[in-house]
Amino acid sequence: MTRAGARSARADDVRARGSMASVSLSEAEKVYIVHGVQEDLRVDGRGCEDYRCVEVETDVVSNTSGSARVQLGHTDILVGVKAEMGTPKLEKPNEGYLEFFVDCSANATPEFEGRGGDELGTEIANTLYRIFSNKSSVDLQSLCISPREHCWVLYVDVLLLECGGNLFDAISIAVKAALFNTRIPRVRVLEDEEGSKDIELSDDPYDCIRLSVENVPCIVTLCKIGYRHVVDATLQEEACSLASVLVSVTSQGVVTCMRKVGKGSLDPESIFEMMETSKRVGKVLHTSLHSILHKEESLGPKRQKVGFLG
Amino acid sequence: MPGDHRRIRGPEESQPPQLYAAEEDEAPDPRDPSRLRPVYARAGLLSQAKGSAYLEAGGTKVLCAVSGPRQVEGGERGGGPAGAGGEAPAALRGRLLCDFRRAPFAGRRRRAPQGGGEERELALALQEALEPAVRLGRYPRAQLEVSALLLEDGGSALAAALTAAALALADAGIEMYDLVVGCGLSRAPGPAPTWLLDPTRLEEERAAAGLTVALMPVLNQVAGLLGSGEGGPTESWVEAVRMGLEGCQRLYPVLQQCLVRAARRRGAATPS
Repeated sequence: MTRAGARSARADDVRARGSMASVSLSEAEKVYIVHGVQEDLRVDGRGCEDYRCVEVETDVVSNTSGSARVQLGHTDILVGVKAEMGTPKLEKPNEGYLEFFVDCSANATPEFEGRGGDELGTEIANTLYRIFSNKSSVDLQSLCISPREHCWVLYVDVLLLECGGNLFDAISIAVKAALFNTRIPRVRVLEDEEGSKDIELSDDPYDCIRLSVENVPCIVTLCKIGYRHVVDATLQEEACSLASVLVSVTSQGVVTCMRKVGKGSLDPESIFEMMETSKRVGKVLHTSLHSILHKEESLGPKRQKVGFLG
Repeated sequence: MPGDHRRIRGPEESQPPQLYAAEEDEAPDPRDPSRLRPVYARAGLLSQAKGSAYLEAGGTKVLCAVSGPRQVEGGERGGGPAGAGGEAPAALRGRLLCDFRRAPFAGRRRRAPQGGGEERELALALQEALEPAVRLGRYPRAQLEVSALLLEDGGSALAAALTAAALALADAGIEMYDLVVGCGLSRAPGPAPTWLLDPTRLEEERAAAGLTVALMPVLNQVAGLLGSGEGGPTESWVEAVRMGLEGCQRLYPVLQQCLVRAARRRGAATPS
């Protein structure tokens, strides 16, 4: 303890991983966090597998086909989904597709000013492409209008308003809520006698198709701190951890993506333990998210919208 | 008469005829799921790079070069306690910059080298896997550049690039805790899917899920992990990671021999 005491005289600028917001932690604070986690007690009183309070609100932006806003502690994410018509990809002529774009706004932290947040934005977008890269997450065939010619393209745009740790989890929850809220107008393809096709939009503006988000996965990030791992780390906890594992699980416990993030290395046994934890935590997260989304929908169009200043 | 391009207009877009050809439904031959393809590795072949390595595994050919350490301007001001073993404090540690490039003729269809997307993601994966192994604290205010070039993609390209990059770093004389060995896996679709170690390009294209693991063999620490697809429940992924780690351990002696040979060659070339 004497060595740590001598070091705490000078603040140690410990940077959280990569290009995320940096936080200054002294040696003593770091030791405090690490020792606490070994005893399953975190700084804000949570256990190692507890999430912070999550606030989800859908349909916050009126110009989109679907939108959602998620607040996880100090992390604030806004997702908008716009459905537009496009041509299907050459290899998959019977399916529509999703395009992701992540924008790290300069409001989140001063480091994202100008082009600073682009690197983190591309990393998050690539991870989102990866977790949606399998057939069962979203029913892409329902997005097809006429094979090889027209299909729906869902442009999912993620806006990072505030960075308070655990970005990937919050973004995946927001994307799932926004896809649940998406309403795609129903179209019909009419064929003339000459064979020319015409696309007709239905007259009723409320006649839409909805996507089934039963199999949309959510990301669970587990940060290794000392000998144990924690779920939903704050910025300070992320600064104390050298390596994390990011697992994307569906509500059935099927894993669609797995990635190690960070500068450190991990023991194989701790990776196996982390995967077990992610399955457990993922199931709980999915059931509570489903129940909240259905409850919000059942409140109907007369519900009180909280919006941004509530 | 040469074609009159102004009156006879060609199509706006054209595609290669292979796209419309009937799918050659040759299923890949059944094989032992844990077989590793024979590997040819050679270090120290580029004269202009500080360290270099070439790795060939089946049809996959990767060339990797390391340059540096180069002094980087505008580093953060020093401060904070020094690390163990004479290493620089955390704010002054060196940086590792990785670049992954795919040659335009590497795959079946010509792909123009684009800046972002897949190549950036694989470069980030390379960096995250190599950082635990390199003693960056011994190179304060410096930058190491690792660039991997994929000449031909015959399956498990990222794993081969990881191994080649670690060999190149060792060949350059950069201080490392351990080598990093990479191994690729893929899971075939179907009713009774099994994980296949070191897949070929055909197996990877038909796969429902793919995984790359990077291991530091002597320390037995996992340096990198990247996988996606419909792999099934957690137990199946755990089994895949175990298979991958075992494959990395089997590959290690080949790389040791390659480095020893390179050192001997360098010693013989400079008789002083």
